[in-house]
Amino acid sequence: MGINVLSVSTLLLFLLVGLVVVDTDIAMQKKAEMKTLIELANHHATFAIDEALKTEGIIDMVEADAMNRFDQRMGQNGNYTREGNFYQPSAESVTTDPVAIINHYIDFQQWRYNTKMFLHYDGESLQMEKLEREADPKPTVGGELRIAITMQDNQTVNLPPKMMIGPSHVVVAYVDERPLVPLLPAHAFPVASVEELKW
Amino acid sequence: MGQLIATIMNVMLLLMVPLGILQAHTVLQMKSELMEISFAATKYVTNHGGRSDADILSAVRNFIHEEAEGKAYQLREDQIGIEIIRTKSADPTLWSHEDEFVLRMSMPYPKLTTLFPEWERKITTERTGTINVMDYDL
Repeated sequence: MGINVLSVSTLLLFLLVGLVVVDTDIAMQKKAEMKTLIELANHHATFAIDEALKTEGIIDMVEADAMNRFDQRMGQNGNYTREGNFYQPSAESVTTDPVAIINHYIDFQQWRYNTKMFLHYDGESLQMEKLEREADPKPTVGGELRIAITMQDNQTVNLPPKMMIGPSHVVVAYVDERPLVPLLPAHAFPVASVEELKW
Repeated sequence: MGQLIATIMNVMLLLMVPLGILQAHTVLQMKSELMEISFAATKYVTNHGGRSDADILSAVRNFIHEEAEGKAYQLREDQIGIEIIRTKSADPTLWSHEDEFVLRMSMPYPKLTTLFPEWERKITTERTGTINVMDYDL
């Protein structure tokens, strides 16, 4: 009797430890892969240059084209399809729940200013609350971009700042996944990509 | 006697669980490493371009060699299969601005046991990238 209770409880303990280990692995993989996907897609998106303005020496991006290119790469690299402000995963995707995204274009007149984006995630979707732009531009270098995201529990995450070296396209995604089993914590984290226009 | 056999079976069963966990952990970690290295390689091709197909393949091989040496990866370089093809090209040989490519990487499934040889699957990743290098920079 005693030995059976002991071995069953050891078995359960092993299983619990294993579950935690595997869950941590999956969480790390998701985070790294989501960052990769957003970065590769944004890289491709920033090739959408306005050809008419380019002949006049102005480098500007066509935002609709850029987002189409973004969707295309999210599909090719991660098997995601776009539905409004969400990326819907397929069976082969790295996440299982829809990923909320938001994009913002900082054009050729704005990139020299220090900019701060305030985003809010309400448990459903990602919204831009406000955008602060400092009054005076940096004539020689670009501005510094900071992104702050407030979550449902009113906690704020500040993403690492980034110096802009040209007109930039910013994409932020918020992954919010149900836990693998109810006793484990949920996976929720933001990832962001800032890419200069490619021309 | 029956008690003794039952105990031995018990211990064996108990040992199977950590082994299974170890297997799952190894596979996940290998997959993560392959994803990471293929992303790094895609970035590398994106930022460097190349003069020809052969040039690109050897550059990617070299890059992976350096990555595998420099970082504490568990995966072995000689086990990684690489395939890189261009899906959109402006020039027949030069890999340059706005060309698109697909980089496929694969490696054998890490196994703790060779008891089940029919499990010969591979871990694969596929990435599509766009090159950001001008002709005159090559």
